[in-house]
Amino acid sequence: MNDDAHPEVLRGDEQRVLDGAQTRILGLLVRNFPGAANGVGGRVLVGLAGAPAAGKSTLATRLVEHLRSNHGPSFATVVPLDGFHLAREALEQRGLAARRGAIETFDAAGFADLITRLRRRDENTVFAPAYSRDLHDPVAASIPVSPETQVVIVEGNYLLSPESLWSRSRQLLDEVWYLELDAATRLRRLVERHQRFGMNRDEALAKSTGVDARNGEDIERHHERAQLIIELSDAPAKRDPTETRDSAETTEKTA
Amino acid sequence: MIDLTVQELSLEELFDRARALAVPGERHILGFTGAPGAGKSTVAEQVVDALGPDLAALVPMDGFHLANEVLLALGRRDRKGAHDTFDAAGYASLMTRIRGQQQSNLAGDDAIVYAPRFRREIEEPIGSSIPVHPDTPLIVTEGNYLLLESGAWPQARAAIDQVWFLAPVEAVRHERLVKRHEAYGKSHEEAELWALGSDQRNAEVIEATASRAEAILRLL
Repeated sequence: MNDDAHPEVLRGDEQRVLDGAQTRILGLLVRNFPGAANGVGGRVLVGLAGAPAAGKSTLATRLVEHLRSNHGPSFATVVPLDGFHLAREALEQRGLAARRGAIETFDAAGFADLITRLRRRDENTVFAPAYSRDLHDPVAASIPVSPETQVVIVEGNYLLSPESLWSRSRQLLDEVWYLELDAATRLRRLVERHQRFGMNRDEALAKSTGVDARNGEDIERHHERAQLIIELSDAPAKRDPTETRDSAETTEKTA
Repeated sequence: MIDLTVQELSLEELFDRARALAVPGERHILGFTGAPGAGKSTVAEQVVDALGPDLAALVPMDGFHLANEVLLALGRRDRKGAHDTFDAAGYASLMTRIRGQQQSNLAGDDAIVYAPRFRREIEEPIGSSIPVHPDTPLIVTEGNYLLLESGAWPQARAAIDQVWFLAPVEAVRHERLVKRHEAYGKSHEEAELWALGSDQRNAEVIEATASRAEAILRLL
């Protein structure tokens, strides 16, 4: 790892980015597991950071699909940092309910423990939590990570934070990439997302330009700590997986 | 045969025994186990209430239910509650963190360990729900499988100082179980069937683990 160097840049349409990312991951497997032929049997943990609504979960999902289609279904998986939101119960108990989404409203120690276990790789299936937008809470033991899995893409806002527990987790990741998206597009996507989850336009705008914007600035400040900056020339607005899932659920409920 | 000596004691005597483990400045973990209907969660709650929040906190094992999404994918949805429908390794990892919590070099809010909580009304485990503070001397945990010898359960057991096995009179346990099923909407006949059927098979598995407990207790 080379934290002091300027990050490299991977820029292009989605196909180019997916191919470039795959090449880089396979390179990491070979480089970090020199004892294994072509890195077979090794495991890399790659972080994908970025500001809210930059498209992290979409890109992570597409990348895992891409890797699985080429290397088999258990080869790669996504672990979202969103699963480590403190539950509303804990936020209320700790007086943090109004700060929801800020860095101190995440279970950074729980995240560090999971990353440690994924790195150690000495257990059977390790389960990660997943945030449920329906329940507005994280559901524990939702995402199985098999011992055979060789690539874990960890995506989330705060992977590059220099604060103690976050940087401890950062040390355990092989690389962290930063997904860049221009501010105007990001704001539009953020407002749309809040509206999909029940806010009116004014509330959505207020949150996007308030708490979210402050969180976003914190996150952007640390992007130089990434090894790779990714810029998608075709921003994946219409392929947001939460959007697809949400509209499917809505249809189900009204049916 | 192993000698399973059942010790009879009052609730007050039980509180005193638990209090002896709650030494300020130290960290101990006390586990309650027993067959379904043995009174684990009630007794664990009573102990934590009696000692108060400065001395004790409760971290139930059932927070480690696998999410319904995972159970569906594994084809185990209809066996929810069986030992392989829990994230035993997650429980072991959390118990290990709780045991070493005071020795960690983390300070302030970073030193809080969060445990999941099973929410019965939605039948899902909600992550990072229960804050466990490093200066709480006694952590009480309770569940069916604390003494199981398979999978990752022994690693959880290794982090727990003492496991007390609750062994009420069989008729009492049976009646409690039937009432619980009725409270969740089953008719009396259905409740009896459950208590004698799948509950009973589960109970036999759990009772076979009693010899690994530090104490087998029957409340008077």
